[in-house]
Amino acid sequence: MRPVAATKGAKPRLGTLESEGVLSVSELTQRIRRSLEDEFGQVAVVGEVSNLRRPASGHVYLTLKDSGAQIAAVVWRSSASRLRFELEDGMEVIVSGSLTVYEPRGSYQIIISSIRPKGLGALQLAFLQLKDKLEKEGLFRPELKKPLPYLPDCVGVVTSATGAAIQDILKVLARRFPPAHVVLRPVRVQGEGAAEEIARAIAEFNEWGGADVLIVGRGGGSIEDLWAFNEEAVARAIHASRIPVISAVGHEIDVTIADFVADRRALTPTEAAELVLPDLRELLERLGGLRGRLATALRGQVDLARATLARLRASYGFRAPIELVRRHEQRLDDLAGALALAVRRRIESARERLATAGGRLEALSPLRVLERGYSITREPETRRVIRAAGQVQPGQLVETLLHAGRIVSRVEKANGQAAVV
Amino acid sequence: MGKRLSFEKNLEALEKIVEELESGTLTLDEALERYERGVAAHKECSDILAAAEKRLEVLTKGPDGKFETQPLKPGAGSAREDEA
Repeated sequence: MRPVAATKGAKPRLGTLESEGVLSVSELTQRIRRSLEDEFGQVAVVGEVSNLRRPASGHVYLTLKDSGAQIAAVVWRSSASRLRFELEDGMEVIVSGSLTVYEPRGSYQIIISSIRPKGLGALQLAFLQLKDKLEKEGLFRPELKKPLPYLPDCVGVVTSATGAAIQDILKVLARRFPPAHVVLRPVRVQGEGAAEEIARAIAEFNEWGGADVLIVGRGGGSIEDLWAFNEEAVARAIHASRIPVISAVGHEIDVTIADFVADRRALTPTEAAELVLPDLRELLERLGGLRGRLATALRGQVDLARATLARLRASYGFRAPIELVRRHEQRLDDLAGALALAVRRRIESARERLATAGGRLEALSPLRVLERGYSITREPETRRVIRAAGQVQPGQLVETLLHAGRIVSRVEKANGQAAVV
Repeated sequence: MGKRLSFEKNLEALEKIVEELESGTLTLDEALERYERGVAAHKECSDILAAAEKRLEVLTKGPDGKFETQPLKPGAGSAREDEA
């Protein structure tokens, strides 16, 4: 310690002590502080965080230590709020700040202006910490993932109105599904307050209720550019969304917290547009194909039924009754034939008997007697044969039939005696 | 929402009906009934697709808290570099 000038601040009653080089506690402390601040000023120290305290004031108190020593440190509220990750006991950190003395306690400490985890970048650590926290809360659970609608009426998009993402999405939709209905809620996607804007936009889409699915994202950029999508506010808003959310942040290699919470992660905004709506041409072809198969299948079914019907009709079981009928018909035909034959025979035999009888009749005919010279006399009007003379009166006309011709004569005399001719 | 559900439902129904019909295990009556339903489902799907209409809009929230959609101006987002 340098000898101290005794003039400044000296008081008469301490005169003798001063001359002996005696200092007040405050004086010494002030001199130590000045000396320390001059000597060290800005320092960067690596050590382990321990004895971490966060009182209501918002300042953060901790002890940095290694195996051989320890030093008190404080992060003022204003610096603490800029910390992207959570400080934890046991964490190895590199802090930058100024060394100073806390006079009321006579202890020296580091006022930390920035702090970063050893080994990892601060953003990386923040990412891992938030991921771990939300995972433990169950925000990434697979059963929470809502299915995407097959054919959304309206696609909501949360991104910058002037960024690459909306352009890529519109380009893909124009190709895949030209009549798509897209509603954009423009937001800032990077910088201070971007995360809150994105979160609010998601909430507002839910409040509005007009969109069936949301695409939340932005084009590629540095990890700092994409940072909004790693913030808790966005993760919570996606988690709270009733509308299914597709995250679409940066390029394939960029994974954000939003991707873990989203119902579906698209590698890029372009892919999100491919996921969100089907290819209209393919859809129409599929519908047409189904229509064709429907008709073909029905035709097949009808053909099958027809074939079955034909087979049944041709089958013995179905044919049997007809066969029976046919057999009866045939029998009937046979009987009819036999009947006809029998009738014909009867007619013939009758005809024969008739001829025989006719022959005999012929032989008995009185006309044959007339041939032999006999004659028959009869009354011409009554054709009554006259067998006795008594049958006629003199003067009466009689007719006599001869073998050839007839004679009409008048009776002269009628002798009542029977006579031999 | 209804429209979307109806599309999905009808497309699924149509696919199921086609498969049933193709399986050939239906009676003719059933097949005819399925065919009719299939044709109706197909028509529903086709009508929905035909009714889709290209619209690009921006969602805004007015000071009264009411939401409005306005047509998205063509050329919006052409400055690809500017993400902010």
